[in-house]
Amino acid sequence: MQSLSSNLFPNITIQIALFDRITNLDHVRSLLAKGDVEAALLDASFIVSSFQVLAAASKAFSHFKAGAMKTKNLHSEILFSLSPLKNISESFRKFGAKPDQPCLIVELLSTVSSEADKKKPSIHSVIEYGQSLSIDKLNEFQNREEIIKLYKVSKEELANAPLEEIVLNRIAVRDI
Amino acid sequence: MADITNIECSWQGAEARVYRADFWNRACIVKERFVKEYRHPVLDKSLTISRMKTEAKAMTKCRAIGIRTPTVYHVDLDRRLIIMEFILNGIKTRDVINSLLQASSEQSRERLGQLASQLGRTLALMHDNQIVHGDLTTSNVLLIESEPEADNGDAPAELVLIDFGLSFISTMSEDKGVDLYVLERAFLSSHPNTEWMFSLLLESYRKHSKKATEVLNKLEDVRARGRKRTMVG
Repeated sequence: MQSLSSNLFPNITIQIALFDRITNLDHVRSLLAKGDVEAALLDASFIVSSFQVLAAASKAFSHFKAGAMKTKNLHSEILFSLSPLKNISESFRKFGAKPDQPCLIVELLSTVSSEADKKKPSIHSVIEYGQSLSIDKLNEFQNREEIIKLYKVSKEELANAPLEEIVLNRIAVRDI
Repeated sequence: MADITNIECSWQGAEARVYRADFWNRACIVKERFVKEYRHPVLDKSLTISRMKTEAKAMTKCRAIGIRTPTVYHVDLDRRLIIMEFILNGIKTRDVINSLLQASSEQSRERLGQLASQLGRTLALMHDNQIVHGDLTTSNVLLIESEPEADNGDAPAELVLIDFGLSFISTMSEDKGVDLYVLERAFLSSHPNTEWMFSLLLESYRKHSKKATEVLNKLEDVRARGRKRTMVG
């Protein structure tokens, strides 16, 4: 698990954790839907790097603070912010964790959380998984062809810049 | 929302303040555009947003066609912020040119020529893709020096274009000519007696741009306009 902070977002930390598979995904999903736990569960194959996820999380947080989220909560907004697609359901379908597939769990935690939030269990207390892995292993699960297809990256672009940068740019300018 | 209240301002220009910060363990630049009090607030908001969108899009478009620009990390239109990659080991071309001019050796002259050609080629590519920078100066072009032993015929250093705040999309050769003229003026005033360098730049531009003739003709026209104060007769 990696815990990151930024002097640009002083009251939050982002925690990311990688698992080879979540074995009780359906159950966890129902808890997420009810709001009993909060986290974004991502399909690791669409992630180029953890930085991509951090950029998406920042975007989601920004929308959250501005009251401009397109989805129901902050963590679903992280999932949507990752996506180059404008359709929310499709974005969830693509980027959301798949059963028994490598999964990246992202939590955006407030360092000044309210009392109500403190009562909620951590996602890590409810997931059942195969193996917890170091974030460094993330690129082992990356499906480069799928990422290129999904973000509509051309051969020319790829010849000129690393995939990560292209994806970051896409995420940053999607809604503008 | 990105919060810059505790971050020291690095630099202030006419349009924006620039801050150095860290974006999840990566060095970044935060560019915050000013509110222009003398404008009507609705107009100011809309202009600022429009400029920010253009800036972010121009940077990403350049990246897509092979011109190195800072990667855009985060755009916050409400707070008028763009958070972008901080180019590590990037030196202003302006400073590189000045130190090479001072060295005034055979080698440094060759290097200067190489630089000019490289810049000309980059600008040709940019203009051929209808991107007009709008504020070309040698301070808005960075160089990332690579290892000194890289002895290839190609440029040993990478050019990075920055500050697309005044950029726009245009197919018109007039706009591209003006873009080059702005650079020429900035070039010659920052680096006296470097007409030879700028000629090399234009030569390289001519070689690499599909619309070179038209653009360079327009550059001539713009130069003529500049020299003669009166446009009469």
